[in-house]
Amino acid sequence: MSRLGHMLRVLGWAALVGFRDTLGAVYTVQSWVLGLFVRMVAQVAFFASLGQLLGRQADVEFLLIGNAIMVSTSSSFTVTVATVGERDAGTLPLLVASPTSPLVALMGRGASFVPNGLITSLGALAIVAPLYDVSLPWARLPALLALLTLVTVSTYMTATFLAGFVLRSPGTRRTVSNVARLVMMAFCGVSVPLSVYPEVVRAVAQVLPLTHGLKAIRELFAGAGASDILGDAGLEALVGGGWLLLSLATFRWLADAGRRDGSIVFSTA
Amino acid sequence: MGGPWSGPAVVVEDLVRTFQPKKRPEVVALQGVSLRVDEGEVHGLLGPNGAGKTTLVKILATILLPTSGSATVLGRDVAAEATSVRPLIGIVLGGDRGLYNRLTARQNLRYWAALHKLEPGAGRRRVDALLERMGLTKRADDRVQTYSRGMRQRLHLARALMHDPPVLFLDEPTTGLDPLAARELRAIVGELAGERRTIFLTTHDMAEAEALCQRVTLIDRGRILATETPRALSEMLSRYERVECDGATDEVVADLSALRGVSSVSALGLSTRIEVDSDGVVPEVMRRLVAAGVTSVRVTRPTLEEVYLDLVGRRGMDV
Repeated sequence: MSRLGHMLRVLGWAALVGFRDTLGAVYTVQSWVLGLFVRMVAQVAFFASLGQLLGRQADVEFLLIGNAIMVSTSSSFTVTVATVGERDAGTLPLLVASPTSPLVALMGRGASFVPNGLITSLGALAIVAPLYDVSLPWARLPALLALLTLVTVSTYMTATFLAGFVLRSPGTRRTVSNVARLVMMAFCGVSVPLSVYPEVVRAVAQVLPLTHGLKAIRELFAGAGASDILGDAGLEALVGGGWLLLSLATFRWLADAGRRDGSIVFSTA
Repeated sequence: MGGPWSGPAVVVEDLVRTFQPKKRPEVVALQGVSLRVDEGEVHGLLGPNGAGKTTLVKILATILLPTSGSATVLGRDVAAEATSVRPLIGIVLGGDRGLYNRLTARQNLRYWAALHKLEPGAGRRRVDALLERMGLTKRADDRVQTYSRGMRQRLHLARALMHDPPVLFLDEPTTGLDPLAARELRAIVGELAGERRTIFLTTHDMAEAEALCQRVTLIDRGRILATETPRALSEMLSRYERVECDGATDEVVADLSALRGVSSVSALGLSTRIEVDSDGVVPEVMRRLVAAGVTSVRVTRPTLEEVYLDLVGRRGMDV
């Protein structure tokens, strides 16, 4: 079995575990629509309405697109919390002692939230945009889907990096994921243009996920050329890859620290 | 199963493990533990709660790192060569946890087959075989959350056997099981021992240790008290046989108490136990009992439980 095939198989099973423990355990299709999807649509509509209050259609479009895309990336942060599921199940020590890196299994646990984010985000765009006179780039829908997937996955890599630290300190799981979401909302150009921030904040935003991908999506909506869009998409892919490398580099170190101080066997259950 | 290694399966030398809880004094879980388990041996680790049994198993299973000292499994160092140790070992940790409750037994095992890098076809066949062996085939597609504790323990064992490891670490596998389920699990462990696997078993259950283990290590407060065969441990407590009888009168008890070589005469429910501390005293005790008309007489040795209580004290029985 190839290394990639093996990893995909583990990711697939871990995704099933994660789905059964989270989305599958909490939602039926009906409660997902009424309890999650409608809430996200309302959230995007709320920000679009704020744009209307500002009085410019450009502000409406900026807030609507930014917050609709944020819905998907926000969903990615579930993987940061998902590490705790392995502690609760008592499977974390067994994963650590298995021949496969536990990072692969932990990455898989939140994977069902990637399609969840994509569906919610696209649905919110499709419903809210016409209500606020924002034109969807229907002709470039595959490109929009590809870019949305890219920002969701690159954010997932950052969330995986943070999951390593949550593994060491499970009590911080909600704080870490919520603070990370807030940082991205504030500094990645979701609701506030980067140009208003000081140089240092703009510099930090360059290495955060979403910043470049969201810019590429805005360019797509504005009808920009492929080269501009691909340039920003490439930067987003680089940022996501960087966070993945960082996760790989730190995870074994974090797991070994847990083996050394014993926190790897502690339970939150 | 097995490899070119021909030395002891497990070697532990001067192992120390401490924990530093926040704002509390350091806890010393293991204090210079040394032991050796031969290949193919079923070795029991017996001790009360907090003795260090689970910590030792977790270090050997590469889950925890030792603070100092060393441990090897089939010649590989569990700290420095953890990645080469992991394919050689199967682990069953005590308790209800360690399974994915919302998956079926088959899905749990298929996942672990993937984690152990089995090819999909081989993984499916292995899962089917293990489910059959553990008697879980009929319930294989039910969610684990509907399983009894005995079924869960058998599933734990199936998971541990997924990659056919030569060494098994079983941490209190029968704790909390009803007698029937415990007996079934012991039978499976006995079968596994018959396959020349090395089994390192922690337990509170003296009868289990006596029935399954070739040698037993007694541990308390992180220190090894003794490592011997169950019989040799019994002999440590009393090198001599002892006599138990029913219906001894006060006069007989007084007579035997005064006999040279008798160390104690004690009531044991409706029976009387006569302990001796010299060679050749048992026949004289028997003769006097029979002469006094006592016909229900037995010659016994201390059980492992008595040895345990003698060495560890009654501290450990509140488990």
